[in-house]
Amino acid sequence: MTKLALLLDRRWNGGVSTHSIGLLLSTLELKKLIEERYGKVDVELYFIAQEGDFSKFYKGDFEQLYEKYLEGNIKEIIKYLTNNIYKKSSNKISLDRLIDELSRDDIDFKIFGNLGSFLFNTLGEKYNLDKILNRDNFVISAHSEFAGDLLTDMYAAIVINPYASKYVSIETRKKIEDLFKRRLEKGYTDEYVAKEVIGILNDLLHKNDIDSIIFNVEKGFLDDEFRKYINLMSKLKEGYTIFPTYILYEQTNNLLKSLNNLGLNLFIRNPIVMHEPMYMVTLEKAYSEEINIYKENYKEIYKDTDKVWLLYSGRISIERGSNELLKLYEDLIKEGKKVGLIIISDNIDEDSEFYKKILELADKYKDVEVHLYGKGFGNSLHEDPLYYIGLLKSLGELKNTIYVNPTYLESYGLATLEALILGNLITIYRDTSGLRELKEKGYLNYKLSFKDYQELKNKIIEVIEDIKNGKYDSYINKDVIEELKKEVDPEKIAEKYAEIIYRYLESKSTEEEIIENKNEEALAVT
Amino acid sequence: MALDDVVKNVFAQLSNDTSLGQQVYNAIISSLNDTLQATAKQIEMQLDPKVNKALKYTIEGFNINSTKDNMNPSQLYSDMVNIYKQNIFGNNAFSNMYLLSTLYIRGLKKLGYPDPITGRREYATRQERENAQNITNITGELLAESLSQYYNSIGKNVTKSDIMANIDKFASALYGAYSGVINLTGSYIISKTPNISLLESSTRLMSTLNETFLSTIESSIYSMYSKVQIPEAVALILNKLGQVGLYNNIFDEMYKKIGSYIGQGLKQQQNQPVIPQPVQNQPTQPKRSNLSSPLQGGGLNIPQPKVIKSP
Repeated sequence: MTKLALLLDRRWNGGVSTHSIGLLLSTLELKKLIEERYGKVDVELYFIAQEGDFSKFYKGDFEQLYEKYLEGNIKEIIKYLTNNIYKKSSNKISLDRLIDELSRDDIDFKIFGNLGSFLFNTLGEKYNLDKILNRDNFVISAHSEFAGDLLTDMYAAIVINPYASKYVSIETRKKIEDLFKRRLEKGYTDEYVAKEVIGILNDLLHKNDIDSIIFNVEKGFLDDEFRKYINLMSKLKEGYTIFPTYILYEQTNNLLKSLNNLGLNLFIRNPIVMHEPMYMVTLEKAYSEEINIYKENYKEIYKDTDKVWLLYSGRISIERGSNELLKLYEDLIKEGKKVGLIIISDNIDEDSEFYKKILELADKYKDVEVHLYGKGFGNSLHEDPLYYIGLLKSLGELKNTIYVNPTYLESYGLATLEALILGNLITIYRDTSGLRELKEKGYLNYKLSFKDYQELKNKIIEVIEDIKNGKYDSYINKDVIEELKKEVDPEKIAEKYAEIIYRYLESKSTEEEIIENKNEEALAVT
Repeated sequence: MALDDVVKNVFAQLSNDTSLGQQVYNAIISSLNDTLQATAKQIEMQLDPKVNKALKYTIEGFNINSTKDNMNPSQLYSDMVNIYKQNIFGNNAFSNMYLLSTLYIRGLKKLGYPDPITGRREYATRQERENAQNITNITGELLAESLSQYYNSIGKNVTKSDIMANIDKFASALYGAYSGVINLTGSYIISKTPNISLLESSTRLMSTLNETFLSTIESSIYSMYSKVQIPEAVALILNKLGQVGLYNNIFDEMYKKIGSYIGQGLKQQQNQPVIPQPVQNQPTQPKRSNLSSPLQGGGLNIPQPKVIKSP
């Protein structure tokens, strides 16, 4: 029997959370694949959840989910995660038990859904990592870029925070601000920024002797995460590390180079670049009829308008570029363009500044029409993704919508790919890190990337004109979309995981065979 | 006399010294011979399915799918290889040019140019880009030379620099022809059977063979360049190696080596305890919709937008 362990990190919103659903579906398929090859497979399923300030740990029932998977009941599987069904009190386990179980020798291979699982809790302490990652039998997925995250944290703590001027020199603050801007302009963390971030952090942690409680708390936090990150990286000399894009891998390597300049010896032995699994592709296959009903419903809402719709899906925040989106909408309305705005976001409500700005626009100009979907308004589309797929499909069929992604930072671009794959929508996006790579690989239309606000506005105006002239399809490459859809299918991703595991298991069995043969030879000699 | 004149004069004497020329040539060729042999050894290992697991799965898939379809895998493989060889090596005048064009375009793609057929771009590391720069210099030079010779032979008056001015376009056309050969082997399979799994495993096998072949030639150029860092010199030697049948012979060795595993039970050779079943890529069975399912939150309660409009 082959034994696997899967740890999913449910502490985060956005991409990491979405990835955990896709990875669960891929692991269900993986069990099927490996069983066809080696016979019975047992999978132990674990979760990390955030409760207050603490990480809590749960053990799930993989066999029960597998039964549902074989029945084709994908909804129940997704609900198990999104509706927190795994969080039954009887499923709760202690950190010690999690570590003990993940350290067992009878586990043939371990799958960790998020590199960040070992940060912001004690899993990242060296003595725990030594137990959990005790052999080379693991694969771990990276999603975000640590130097960039550190820089964002330092920017918030030292540049934005007005009290920081009391304990950090103006030169250091200016330097952090410049680095932050440079990263946004470049769209990724280059070697220079990584090096400078590590240099500044090192100085702040070890050379600043100003006694300030606030600063010491910040320092302690940064110091702790920094140390755990290094502990974790030192473990990636073994096992396999998955990156969704080459650029994320390169940025991680830039950071390791900077750390190595401080005398460390960190490297990633087996990096693998592959797509993230898109669980909506599985849903689309399994529930096409139901999605059709929702699609027709949304078509009724959006079919008889003479507007072109701009669609935004994701968090509302500065680094996501949502302010520029609103400015764009205002400018287009001011210029008399007939455009509507659809915002799908679970982090706004009627008390948020963003919502108030929309109300101001509606007061100030004629012809403003903004449609909002989100938890804060009781009409979330992300809680029930079949609705979201239905909406994307309806807008795609009506050929009157442009998906806009103005984000400054994107390690992969899952939401953009969803709009493209499920809706066949025209997608306009900033030329930044993960999105740039998707462009360079030919998945995103080359003509639709922008670098700054003016370019965004010009392109949107051009595309709106083209849509009015019936040229919507000239922006859509259906062959590429079909190919991409196959590549992000959790079943396809499962095959890639299977290859990794076969490679590992079979190299081990060959090694064992060689050792056995050598032993036999030794016996024969004696 | 200026210093550069001193150097010039001395080198003029050296270039007339035929015995020195022979000695330098011997030293270079001997060094390249060692390097290329080492590269060949590494590549040979990659052709061993016991070492290269990806190749192993590809061969197994092909064996299983053709046997399930009552077809002789060895015969099928040999037919496909013949189609490949006829198209790639069958036309003496163009064989080398197909290959050079493909290497040239692969280099350009690593430098960030889109694939001339699919328009796709690929990402390359800095090291790959550096190598690619050398490869495009070398293969571009050779391709222009070969093309101008060919056109002169059919009475078309064109110089190497005329070709060089449009080298990307010449290379793209020939690369297109080269890339089509895998599809030709696919269409051959389709003419034999409607079995899509066999089609996929056959084209995967031929693509693997093709990719290994191309990367072997690339590795050979890299290793030669690492020894003699003069693109013109590498181009000269490569051209000569092409003329004495290096490409063709390398391909022959590769397909024979892979062929020796076709139709065999690889697994049994490795004494594996479990005889594996072929991996079935069955999609999840679509389930008929159940509109009262809990994910939906009950009934047709489809979320409607919160609308903000100008008064």
